[in-house]
Amino acid sequence: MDASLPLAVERLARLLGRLPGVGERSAQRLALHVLAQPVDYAKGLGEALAGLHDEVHFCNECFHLAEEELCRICSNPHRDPQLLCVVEEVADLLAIERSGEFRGLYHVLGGALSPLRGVGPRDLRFAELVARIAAAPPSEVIVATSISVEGEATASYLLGLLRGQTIEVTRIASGVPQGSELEYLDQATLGRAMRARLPLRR
Amino acid sequence: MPSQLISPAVVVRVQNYGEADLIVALLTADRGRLDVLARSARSSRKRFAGVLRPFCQLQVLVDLKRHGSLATLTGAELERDLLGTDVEYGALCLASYLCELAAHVSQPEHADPQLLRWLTACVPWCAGRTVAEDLPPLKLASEAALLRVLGLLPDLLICGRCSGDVQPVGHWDPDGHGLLCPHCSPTQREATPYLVLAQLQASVMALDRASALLIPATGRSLVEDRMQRLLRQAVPQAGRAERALRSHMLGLD
Ligand SMILES: [Zn+2]
Ligand SMILES: [Zn+2]
Repeated sequence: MDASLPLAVERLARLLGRLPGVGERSAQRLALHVLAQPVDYAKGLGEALAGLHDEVHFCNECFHLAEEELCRICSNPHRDPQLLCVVEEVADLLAIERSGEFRGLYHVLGGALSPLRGVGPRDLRFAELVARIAAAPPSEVIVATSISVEGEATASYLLGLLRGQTIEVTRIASGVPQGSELEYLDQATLGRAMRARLPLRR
Repeated sequence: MPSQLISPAVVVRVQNYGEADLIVALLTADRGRLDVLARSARSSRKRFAGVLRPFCQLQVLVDLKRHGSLATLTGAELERDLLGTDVEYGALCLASYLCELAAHVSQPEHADPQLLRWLTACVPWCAGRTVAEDLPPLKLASEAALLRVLGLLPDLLICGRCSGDVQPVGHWDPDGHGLLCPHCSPTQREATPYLVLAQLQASVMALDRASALLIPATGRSLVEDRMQRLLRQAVPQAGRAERALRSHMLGLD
Protein backbone atom coordinates (compact mmCIF):
# COMPACT_ATOMS: atom_id res chain seq x y z
CA MET A 1 0.00 0.00 0.00
CA ASP A 2 0.99 3.60 -0.60
CA ALA A 3 2.31 5.25 2.54
CA SER A 4 1.46 8.72 1.20
CA LEU A 5 -2.30 8.00 1.13
CA PRO A 6 -4.61 8.93 4.05
CA LEU A 7 -5.36 5.97 6.32
CA ALA A 8 -9.09 6.00 5.46
CA VAL A 9 -8.37 5.51 1.76
CA GLU A 10 -5.79 2.88 2.48
CA ARG A 11 -8.22 1.00 4.75
CA LEU A 12 -10.94 1.02 2.07
CA ALA A 13 -8.44 -0.13 -0.56
CA ARG A 14 -7.30 -2.97 1.63
CA LEU A 15 -10.89 -4.16 2.14
CA LEU A 16 -11.72 -3.84 -1.56
CA GLY A 17 -8.57 -5.75 -2.38
CA ARG A 18 -10.04 -8.83 -0.71
CA LEU A 19 -12.83 -9.02 -3.30
CA PRO A 20 -12.34 -11.72 -5.94
CA GLY A 21 -10.53 -10.51 -9.04
CA VAL A 22 -9.46 -7.22 -7.45
CA GLY A 23 -5.73 -6.73 -7.14
CA GLU A 24 -3.87 -4.22 -4.99
CA ARG A 25 -3.66 -1.53 -7.66
CA SER A 26 -7.24 -1.77 -8.85
CA ALA A 27 -8.39 -1.70 -5.20
CA GLN A 28 -6.55 1.59 -4.80
CA ARG A 29 -8.08 2.90 -8.02
CA LEU A 30 -11.58 1.91 -6.83
CA ALA A 31 -11.04 3.60 -3.47
CA LEU A 32 -9.93 6.81 -5.19
CA HIS A 33 -12.93 6.56 -7.52
CA VAL A 34 -15.35 6.35 -4.57
CA LEU A 35 -13.65 9.40 -3.08
CA ALA A 36 -14.08 11.34 -6.33
CA GLN A 37 -17.86 10.74 -6.39
CA PRO A 38 -20.39 12.97 -4.55
CA VAL A 39 -20.51 12.13 -0.85
CA ASP A 40 -24.00 10.55 -1.16
CA TYR A 41 -22.55 7.73 -3.21
CA ALA A 42 -20.08 6.69 -0.53
CA LYS A 43 -22.83 6.98 2.14
CA GLY A 44 -25.21 4.85 0.07
CA LEU A 45 -22.51 2.28 -0.57
CA GLY A 46 -21.69 2.13 3.12
CA GLU A 47 -25.33 1.67 4.10
CA ALA A 48 -25.86 -1.01 1.47
CA LEU A 49 -22.87 -2.93 2.79
CA ALA A 50 -23.79 -2.45 6.44
CA GLY A 51 -27.34 -3.69 5.92
CA LEU A 52 -26.39 -6.71 3.86
CA HIS A 53 -26.17 -9.27 6.63
CA ASP A 54 -29.17 -7.90 8.56
CA GLU A 55 -31.52 -7.76 5.61
CA VAL A 56 -30.54 -10.86 3.69
CA HIS A 57 -30.83 -14.46 4.87
CA PHE A 58 -31.69 -17.85 3.42
CA CYS A 59 -35.21 -18.68 2.24
CA ASN A 60 -36.91 -21.11 4.65
CA GLU A 61 -38.01 -23.34 1.79
CA CYS A 62 -35.35 -23.38 -0.89
CA PHE A 63 -32.28 -21.67 0.71
CA HIS A 64 -32.04 -19.05 -2.00
CA LEU A 65 -31.22 -15.57 -0.71
CA ALA A 66 -34.29 -13.84 0.70
CA GLU A 67 -35.42 -10.68 2.48
CA GLU A 68 -38.54 -12.26 3.97
CA GLU A 69 -39.11 -15.81 5.23
CA LEU A 70 -39.59 -16.92 1.66
CA CYS A 71 -37.56 -15.80 -1.32
CA ARG A 72 -39.14 -14.06 -4.30
CA ILE A 73 -39.32 -17.31 -6.24
CA CYS A 74 -41.00 -19.37 -3.51
CA SER A 75 -43.51 -16.60 -2.78
CA ASN A 76 -44.36 -16.11 -6.44
CA PRO A 77 -47.81 -17.72 -7.11
CA HIS A 78 -47.04 -18.06 -10.81
CA ARG A 79 -44.20 -20.53 -10.24
CA ASP A 80 -45.06 -24.20 -10.73
CA PRO A 81 -44.63 -26.16 -7.47
CA GLN A 82 -44.81 -29.45 -9.38
CA LEU A 83 -41.30 -28.86 -10.71
CA LEU A 84 -38.40 -28.80 -8.27
CA CYS A 85 -34.91 -28.06 -9.51
CA VAL A 86 -32.00 -28.99 -7.25
CA VAL A 87 -28.84 -26.90 -7.63
CA GLU A 88 -25.52 -26.70 -5.81
CA GLU A 89 -25.22 -22.95 -5.25
CA VAL A 90 -27.25 -19.75 -5.47
CA ALA A 91 -25.11 -18.76 -8.47
CA ASP A 92 -26.39 -21.85 -10.31
CA LEU A 93 -29.99 -20.89 -9.54
CA LEU A 94 -29.35 -17.40 -10.93
CA ALA A 95 -27.83 -18.90 -14.09
CA ILE A 96 -30.90 -21.07 -14.68
CA GLU A 97 -33.17 -18.07 -14.04
CA ARG A 98 -31.25 -16.10 -16.66
CA SER A 99 -31.94 -18.85 -19.19
CA GLY A 100 -35.66 -18.12 -18.80
CA GLU A 101 -36.42 -21.81 -19.41
CA PHE A 102 -37.63 -22.80 -15.97
CA ARG A 103 -40.81 -21.76 -14.14
CA GLY A 104 -40.71 -24.17 -11.20
CA LEU A 105 -39.16 -23.94 -7.74
CA TYR A 106 -35.60 -24.59 -6.56
CA HIS A 107 -33.67 -26.22 -3.77
CA VAL A 108 -30.14 -24.98 -3.09
CA LEU A 109 -28.00 -27.78 -1.59
CA GLY A 110 -25.11 -25.53 -0.61
CA GLY A 111 -22.45 -27.36 -2.62
CA ALA A 112 -21.58 -30.78 -4.00
CA LEU A 113 -20.33 -33.89 -2.24
CA SER A 114 -16.54 -33.86 -2.17
CA PRO A 115 -14.66 -36.34 0.04
CA LEU A 116 -11.31 -34.71 -0.77
CA ARG A 117 -12.56 -31.33 0.44
CA GLY A 118 -14.36 -32.81 3.42
CA VAL A 119 -17.89 -32.11 2.15
CA GLY A 120 -20.15 -35.02 3.11
CA PRO A 121 -23.92 -35.57 2.91
CA ARG A 122 -24.46 -34.00 6.32
CA ASP A 123 -22.82 -30.77 5.17
CA LEU A 124 -25.40 -30.28 2.42
CA ARG A 125 -29.17 -29.62 2.62
CA PHE A 126 -30.32 -33.14 1.76
CA ALA A 127 -32.38 -33.63 4.93
CA GLU A 128 -34.23 -30.36 4.26
CA LEU A 129 -34.89 -31.48 0.70
CA VAL A 130 -36.26 -34.85 1.74
CA ALA A 131 -38.51 -33.22 4.36
CA ARG A 132 -39.72 -30.69 1.85
CA ILE A 133 -40.54 -33.34 -0.74
CA ALA A 134 -42.36 -35.42 1.88
CA ALA A 135 -44.46 -32.40 2.89
CA ALA A 136 -45.35 -31.34 -0.65
CA PRO A 137 -44.29 -33.89 -3.27
CA PRO A 138 -43.57 -32.38 -6.70
CA SER A 139 -44.19 -34.46 -9.80
CA GLU A 140 -40.63 -33.99 -11.05
CA VAL A 141 -37.28 -33.34 -9.41
CA ILE A 142 -34.70 -31.96 -11.83
CA VAL A 143 -31.15 -32.54 -10.66
CA ALA A 144 -29.06 -29.64 -11.95
CA THR A 145 -25.80 -30.27 -10.12
CA SER A 146 -22.62 -29.66 -12.09
CA ILE A 147 -21.43 -32.05 -14.79
CA SER A 148 -18.36 -33.16 -12.88
CA VAL A 149 -17.45 -36.16 -10.78
CA GLU A 150 -18.66 -34.36 -7.62
CA GLY A 151 -21.86 -33.20 -9.33
CA GLU A 152 -22.61 -36.70 -10.59
CA ALA A 153 -21.91 -38.30 -7.23
CA THR A 154 -24.24 -35.75 -5.63
CA ALA A 155 -26.92 -36.54 -8.22
CA SER A 156 -26.65 -40.29 -7.68
CA TYR A 157 -26.74 -39.81 -3.90
CA LEU A 158 -29.91 -37.77 -4.28
CA LEU A 159 -31.43 -40.41 -6.53
CA GLY A 160 -30.76 -42.95 -3.76
CA LEU A 161 -32.58 -40.77 -1.22
CA LEU A 162 -35.65 -40.51 -3.46
CA ARG A 163 -35.70 -44.19 -4.38
CA GLY A 164 -39.08 -45.82 -3.83
CA GLN A 165 -41.02 -42.58 -4.31
CA THR A 166 -43.30 -42.00 -7.25
CA ILE A 167 -41.51 -38.83 -8.30
CA GLU A 168 -39.86 -38.56 -11.65
CA VAL A 169 -36.19 -37.67 -11.16
CA THR A 170 -34.45 -36.14 -14.17
CA ARG A 171 -30.94 -34.90 -14.81
CA ILE A 172 -30.09 -31.83 -16.89
CA ALA A 173 -28.64 -32.80 -20.28
CA SER A 174 -24.98 -32.22 -21.02
CA GLY A 175 -23.19 -32.08 -24.31
CA VAL A 176 -22.02 -29.80 -27.07
CA PRO A 177 -22.16 -26.11 -26.11
CA GLN A 178 -23.81 -23.62 -28.47
CA GLY A 179 -21.45 -22.26 -31.09
CA SER A 180 -18.66 -24.74 -30.48
CA GLU A 181 -16.73 -26.74 -33.02
CA LEU A 182 -16.65 -30.48 -32.44
CA GLU A 183 -12.98 -30.63 -33.37
CA TYR A 184 -12.02 -28.67 -30.25
CA LEU A 185 -14.28 -30.44 -27.75
CA ASP A 186 -12.78 -32.67 -25.08
CA GLN A 187 -13.41 -36.40 -25.38
CA ALA A 188 -15.57 -36.66 -22.27
CA THR A 189 -18.00 -33.96 -23.39
CA LEU A 190 -18.22 -35.29 -26.92
CA GLY A 191 -18.62 -38.86 -25.66
CA ARG A 192 -21.48 -37.83 -23.41
CA ALA A 193 -23.14 -35.84 -26.15
CA MET A 194 -22.91 -38.87 -28.43
CA ARG A 195 -24.47 -41.16 -25.82
CA ALA A 196 -27.25 -38.68 -25.00
CA ARG A 197 -28.16 -38.01 -28.64
CA LEU A 198 -31.73 -37.01 -29.51
CA PRO A 199 -33.97 -37.93 -32.45
CA LEU A 200 -33.91 -35.34 -35.22
CA ARG A 201 -37.43 -34.02 -35.61
CA ARG A 202 -38.81 -33.36 -39.08
CA MET B 1 15.46 -23.76 -19.14
CA PRO B 2 12.71 -24.84 -21.58
CA SER B 3 9.57 -26.55 -20.35
CA GLN B 4 9.79 -30.29 -19.77
CA LEU B 5 7.23 -32.76 -21.01
CA ILE B 6 6.17 -35.19 -18.32
CA SER B 7 3.82 -38.09 -18.95
CA PRO B 8 1.96 -39.65 -17.30
CA ALA B 9 1.21 -37.34 -14.37
CA VAL B 10 -1.84 -38.04 -12.23
CA VAL B 11 -3.52 -35.20 -10.31
CA VAL B 12 -3.75 -36.26 -6.66
CA ARG B 13 -4.47 -32.96 -4.94
CA VAL B 14 -5.62 -29.49 -5.97
CA GLN B 15 -5.48 -26.45 -3.71
CA ASN B 16 -6.46 -22.86 -4.32
CA TYR B 17 -3.55 -20.47 -4.25
CA GLY B 18 -3.87 -16.70 -4.16
CA GLU B 19 -6.75 -15.23 -6.10
CA ALA B 20 -6.66 -17.09 -9.36
CA ASP B 21 -4.01 -19.80 -9.14
CA LEU B 22 -3.94 -23.45 -8.18
CA ILE B 23 -1.27 -25.62 -6.64
CA VAL B 24 -1.58 -29.06 -8.16
CA ALA B 25 0.10 -32.15 -6.75
CA LEU B 26 0.99 -34.54 -9.55
CA LEU B 27 2.12 -38.12 -9.12
CA THR B 28 4.75 -38.97 -11.72
CA ALA B 29 6.93 -41.99 -12.38
CA ASP B 30 10.35 -40.35 -12.52
CA ARG B 31 9.92 -37.39 -10.20
CA GLY B 32 7.61 -38.81 -7.58
CA ARG B 33 5.25 -36.14 -6.38
CA LEU B 34 5.61 -32.93 -8.29
CA ASP B 35 3.85 -29.87 -6.87
CA VAL B 36 3.27 -27.32 -9.58
CA LEU B 37 1.83 -23.82 -9.67
CA ALA B 38 -0.90 -23.38 -12.28
CA ARG B 39 -1.19 -19.65 -12.84
CA SER B 40 -4.65 -18.23 -13.58
CA ALA B 41 -6.11 -21.73 -13.58
CA ARG B 42 -9.15 -20.52 -11.67
CA SER B 43 -9.72 -17.22 -13.46
CA SER B 44 -9.59 -18.75 -16.94
CA ARG B 45 -11.19 -22.13 -17.37
CA LYS B 46 -9.89 -22.30 -20.92
CA ARG B 47 -6.29 -22.10 -19.78
CA PHE B 48 -5.94 -25.73 -18.72
CA ALA B 49 -9.17 -26.94 -20.34
CA GLY B 50 -10.62 -28.07 -17.00
CA VAL B 51 -8.24 -31.02 -16.66
CA LEU B 52 -6.62 -30.00 -13.36
CA ARG B 53 -8.94 -32.24 -11.38
CA PRO B 54 -8.15 -35.19 -9.14
CA PHE B 55 -8.19 -38.56 -10.92
CA CYS B 56 -7.05 -37.06 -14.23
CA GLN B 57 -4.01 -38.63 -15.87
CA LEU B 58 -2.25 -35.90 -17.83
CA GLN B 59 0.60 -35.10 -20.10
CA VAL B 60 2.05 -31.90 -18.70
CA LEU B 61 4.54 -29.23 -19.66
CA VAL B 62 6.37 -27.99 -16.60
CA ASP B 63 8.80 -25.17 -16.20
CA LEU B 64 11.08 -26.58 -13.53
CA LYS B 65 12.83 -23.28 -13.01
CA ARG B 66 11.97 -22.59 -9.39
CA HIS B 67 9.84 -19.70 -8.21
CA GLY B 68 10.31 -20.08 -4.51
CA SER B 69 10.12 -23.84 -4.37
CA LEU B 70 7.41 -24.48 -6.93
CA ALA B 71 7.66 -25.50 -10.55
CA THR B 72 5.22 -23.83 -12.95
CA LEU B 73 2.73 -25.67 -15.10
CA THR B 74 2.73 -24.31 -18.64
CA GLY B 75 0.51 -26.86 -20.36
CA ALA B 76 -1.69 -29.84 -19.58
CA GLU B 77 -3.52 -32.31 -21.74
CA LEU B 78 -5.81 -35.10 -20.64
CA GLU B 79 -4.55 -38.60 -21.35
CA ARG B 80 -7.16 -40.48 -19.35
CA ASP B 81 -9.78 -39.66 -16.75
CA LEU B 82 -9.08 -42.53 -14.34
CA LEU B 83 -12.46 -42.24 -12.64
CA GLY B 84 -14.80 -40.75 -15.25
CA THR B 85 -17.85 -38.76 -14.22
CA ASP B 86 -20.40 -41.54 -13.87
CA VAL B 87 -19.61 -42.32 -10.25
CA GLU B 88 -21.62 -42.98 -7.12
CA TYR B 89 -20.78 -41.24 -3.87
CA GLY B 90 -19.29 -44.34 -2.19
CA ALA B 91 -17.05 -44.99 -5.18
CA LEU B 92 -15.97 -41.34 -5.18
CA CYS B 93 -15.10 -41.67 -1.48
CA LEU B 94 -12.91 -44.70 -2.19
CA ALA B 95 -11.18 -43.09 -5.20
CA SER B 96 -10.62 -39.92 -3.17
CA TYR B 97 -9.13 -41.97 -0.34
CA LEU B 98 -6.70 -43.62 -2.77
CA CYS B 99 -5.62 -40.22 -4.09
CA GLU B 100 -5.22 -38.96 -0.56
CA LEU B 101 -3.02 -41.96 0.31
CA ALA B 102 -0.92 -41.44 -2.82
CA ALA B 103 -0.48 -37.74 -2.04
CA HIS B 104 0.56 -38.61 1.49
CA VAL B 105 3.05 -41.40 0.85
CA SER B 106 4.63 -39.94 -2.30
CA GLN B 107 7.77 -37.88 -1.97
CA PRO B 108 9.06 -35.00 -4.07
CA GLU B 109 12.00 -35.85 -6.34
CA HIS B 110 11.75 -39.52 -5.47
CA ALA B 111 11.08 -41.74 -8.47
CA ASP B 112 8.34 -44.23 -7.65
CA PRO B 113 6.88 -45.91 -10.74
CA GLN B 114 5.34 -48.65 -8.56
CA LEU B 115 3.25 -46.12 -6.67
CA LEU B 116 2.03 -44.55 -9.91
CA ARG B 117 1.19 -47.97 -11.26
CA TRP B 118 -0.75 -48.74 -8.09
CA LEU B 119 -2.82 -45.56 -8.36
CA THR B 120 -3.55 -45.90 -12.07
CA ALA B 121 -4.64 -49.51 -11.53
CA CYS B 122 -6.76 -48.98 -8.40
CA VAL B 123 -8.64 -45.74 -9.12
CA PRO B 124 -10.37 -47.22 -12.20
CA TRP B 125 -11.61 -50.01 -9.89
CA CYS B 126 -13.91 -47.42 -8.38
CA ALA B 127 -15.36 -46.29 -11.71
CA GLY B 128 -18.70 -47.38 -13.03
CA ARG B 129 -21.68 -48.34 -10.94
CA THR B 130 -19.87 -49.86 -7.97
CA VAL B 131 -22.40 -51.37 -5.61
CA ALA B 132 -22.06 -50.78 -1.87
CA GLU B 133 -20.96 -54.37 -1.18
CA ASP B 134 -18.02 -53.96 -3.56
CA LEU B 135 -16.42 -51.15 -1.57
CA PRO B 136 -14.94 -53.17 1.36
CA PRO B 137 -13.04 -55.72 -0.79
CA LEU B 138 -11.83 -53.02 -3.18
CA LYS B 139 -10.65 -50.91 -0.25
CA LEU B 140 -8.90 -53.86 1.36
CA ALA B 141 -7.18 -54.96 -1.83
CA SER B 142 -6.08 -51.40 -2.67
CA GLU B 143 -4.65 -50.93 0.81
CA ALA B 144 -2.82 -54.25 0.69
CA ALA B 145 -1.41 -53.41 -2.74
CA LEU B 146 -0.20 -50.03 -1.48
CA LEU B 147 1.46 -51.68 1.54
CA ARG B 148 3.23 -54.00 -0.86
CA VAL B 149 4.53 -51.00 -2.84
CA LEU B 150 5.72 -49.48 0.44
CA GLY B 151 7.38 -52.75 1.46
CA LEU B 152 5.15 -53.12 4.51
CA LEU B 153 3.01 -56.07 3.47
CA PRO B 154 4.05 -59.49 4.78
CA ASP B 155 3.74 -62.56 2.57
CA LEU B 156 0.11 -63.57 2.89
CA LEU B 157 0.59 -67.26 2.04
CA ILE B 158 3.74 -68.31 3.87
CA CYS B 159 4.41 -68.73 7.58
CA GLY B 160 6.82 -66.12 8.87
CA ARG B 161 8.56 -68.65 11.12
CA CYS B 162 8.76 -71.99 9.29
CA SER B 163 8.07 -70.77 5.72
CA GLY B 164 5.34 -73.40 5.43
CA ASP B 165 1.87 -72.89 4.02
CA VAL B 166 -0.62 -70.99 6.17
CA GLN B 167 -3.39 -73.38 5.13
CA PRO B 168 -6.13 -73.79 6.23
CA VAL B 169 -5.89 -70.64 8.36
CA GLY B 170 -3.30 -67.94 8.94
CA HIS B 171 -2.65 -66.33 12.30
CA TRP B 172 -1.77 -62.69 12.00
CA ASP B 173 -0.38 -61.25 15.19
CA PRO B 174 -1.65 -57.84 16.27
CA ASP B 175 1.75 -56.19 15.82
CA GLY B 176 1.55 -57.12 12.18
CA HIS B 177 4.79 -59.11 11.90
CA GLY B 178 3.58 -61.42 9.22
CA LEU B 179 1.49 -64.54 9.41
CA LEU B 180 2.02 -67.81 11.21
CA CYS B 181 0.82 -71.23 10.17
CA PRO B 182 -1.44 -73.25 12.52
CA HIS B 183 1.61 -75.23 13.77
CA CYS B 184 3.71 -72.22 14.68
CA SER B 185 0.91 -70.13 16.13
CA PRO B 186 0.96 -70.15 19.94
CA THR B 187 -2.81 -69.63 20.11
CA GLN B 188 -5.61 -70.69 17.84
CA ARG B 189 -7.40 -67.37 18.19
CA GLU B 190 -7.82 -64.73 15.49
CA ALA B 191 -7.45 -67.03 12.55
CA THR B 192 -8.06 -65.89 8.98
CA PRO B 193 -9.25 -68.45 6.44
CA TYR B 194 -6.70 -69.24 3.75
CA LEU B 195 -9.26 -68.37 1.09
CA VAL B 196 -9.38 -64.71 2.21
CA LEU B 197 -5.59 -64.48 2.25
CA ALA B 198 -5.13 -66.28 -1.06
CA GLN B 199 -7.70 -64.13 -2.84
CA LEU B 200 -6.23 -60.96 -1.36
CA GLN B 201 -2.74 -62.05 -2.41
CA ALA B 202 -4.01 -62.75 -5.93
CA SER B 203 -5.58 -59.30 -6.29
CA VAL B 204 -2.45 -57.62 -4.93
CA MET B 205 -0.21 -59.46 -7.36
CA ALA B 206 -2.41 -58.86 -10.39
CA LEU B 207 -3.77 -55.41 -9.39
CA ASP B 208 -7.02 -56.66 -10.73
CA ARG B 209 -10.52 -55.60 -9.74
CA ALA B 210 -12.10 -58.93 -10.61
CA SER B 211 -10.00 -60.93 -8.15
CA ALA B 212 -10.43 -58.26 -5.45
CA LEU B 213 -14.19 -58.68 -5.70
CA LEU B 214 -13.81 -62.40 -4.93
CA ILE B 215 -12.30 -61.82 -1.46
CA PRO B 216 -14.81 -63.58 0.81
CA ALA B 217 -16.63 -61.45 3.40
CA THR B 218 -16.35 -64.10 6.13
CA GLY B 219 -13.05 -63.76 7.95
CA ARG B 220 -12.25 -60.45 6.32
CA SER B 221 -12.61 -58.18 9.32
CA LEU B 222 -9.42 -59.35 11.04
CA VAL B 223 -7.41 -58.72 7.88
CA GLU B 224 -9.01 -55.28 7.61
CA ASP B 225 -7.92 -54.51 11.15
CA ARG B 226 -4.31 -55.63 10.54
CA MET B 227 -4.22 -53.65 7.30
CA GLN B 228 -5.30 -50.54 9.18
CA ARG B 229 -2.51 -51.01 11.73
CA LEU B 230 0.08 -51.40 9.00
CA LEU B 231 -1.25 -48.39 7.09
CA ARG B 232 -1.07 -46.20 10.16
CA GLN B 233 2.71 -46.72 10.07
CA ALA B 234 2.82 -44.97 6.69
CA VAL B 235 -0.13 -42.60 7.13
CA PRO B 236 -0.37 -41.77 10.85
CA GLN B 237 -3.62 -39.79 10.62
CA ALA B 238 -6.80 -40.37 8.69
CA GLY B 239 -7.44 -37.66 6.08
CA ARG B 240 -10.77 -36.14 5.02
CA ALA B 241 -11.48 -38.67 2.32
CA GLU B 242 -10.67 -41.58 4.63
CA ARG B 243 -13.11 -40.22 7.21
CA ALA B 244 -15.76 -39.71 4.51
CA LEU B 245 -15.26 -43.26 3.24
CA ARG B 246 -15.45 -44.69 6.75
CA SER B 247 -18.67 -42.91 7.63
CA HIS B 248 -20.17 -43.89 4.29
CA MET B 249 -19.24 -47.55 4.79
CA LEU B 250 -20.68 -47.49 8.29
CA GLY B 251 -23.91 -46.16 6.82
CA LEU B 252 -23.74 -42.98 8.86
CA ASP B 253 -24.81 -40.79 5.97
ZN1 LIG C 1 -37.24 -19.92 -1.76
ZN1 LIG D 1 4.93 -72.14 10.66
